[in-house]
Amino acid sequence: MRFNLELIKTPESERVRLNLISRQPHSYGNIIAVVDTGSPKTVISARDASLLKISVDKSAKSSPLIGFGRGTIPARQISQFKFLIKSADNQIKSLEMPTDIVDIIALNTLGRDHVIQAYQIPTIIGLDFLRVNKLKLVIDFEGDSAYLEDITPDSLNQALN
Amino acid sequence: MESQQVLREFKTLEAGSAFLSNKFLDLQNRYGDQFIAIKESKVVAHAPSFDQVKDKIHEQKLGIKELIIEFIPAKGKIILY
Repeated sequence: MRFNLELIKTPESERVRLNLISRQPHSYGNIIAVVDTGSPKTVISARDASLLKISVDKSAKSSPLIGFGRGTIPARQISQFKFLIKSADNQIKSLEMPTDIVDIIALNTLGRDHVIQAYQIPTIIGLDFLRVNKLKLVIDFEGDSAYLEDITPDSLNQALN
Repeated sequence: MESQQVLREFKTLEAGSAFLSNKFLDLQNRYGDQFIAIKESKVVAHAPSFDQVKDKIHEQKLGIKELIIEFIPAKGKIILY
């Protein structure tokens, strides 16, 4: 099963984005995430955490995020964050995985410039997203396409049959 | 039934995301270094900070669910995360 990614080309940069829907209880909504293979972790951004009102009060503190905007950004981890993604043939796949969330309450106590910059950073799809969900990432600039491919045994069996 | 609803939600999300990609240069010219809120392929609010955009959305009584809020980098700047 394939999940198309958006390959964005501008004169100054290229980006690969994934459209997701949060199905975290009380926090349903849209997320446009950037696929970043330089990040080991998937991180829900400050602005998505704020817009979706993702509650992290009872979640464990995660390591502060370094190299993610200015200085460090406080984060918490939700052990089974629920996402939906849509395949190229309109199948919906439900995913659950440990996910870091920017701790906006702690973030908002920091300096104004620090906060403004932290909110500029989008949700990041890190390498853990591919590993945990058994997805293969393909980026083909020549072919102008990018996608994730489900490589779970069930999916591979379906493809063979 | 629920899957039809989810597909509709994805359709809305993808339309907003495509608008953002297709109009990126126009958006950068008009709103570079600002946050923008998009609804139904229209910019409904913009401001230099996220909180200001959020306030404008609340003033307009827009539902958060159908919105996309993005930061548009200024021309000539590349953001590395």
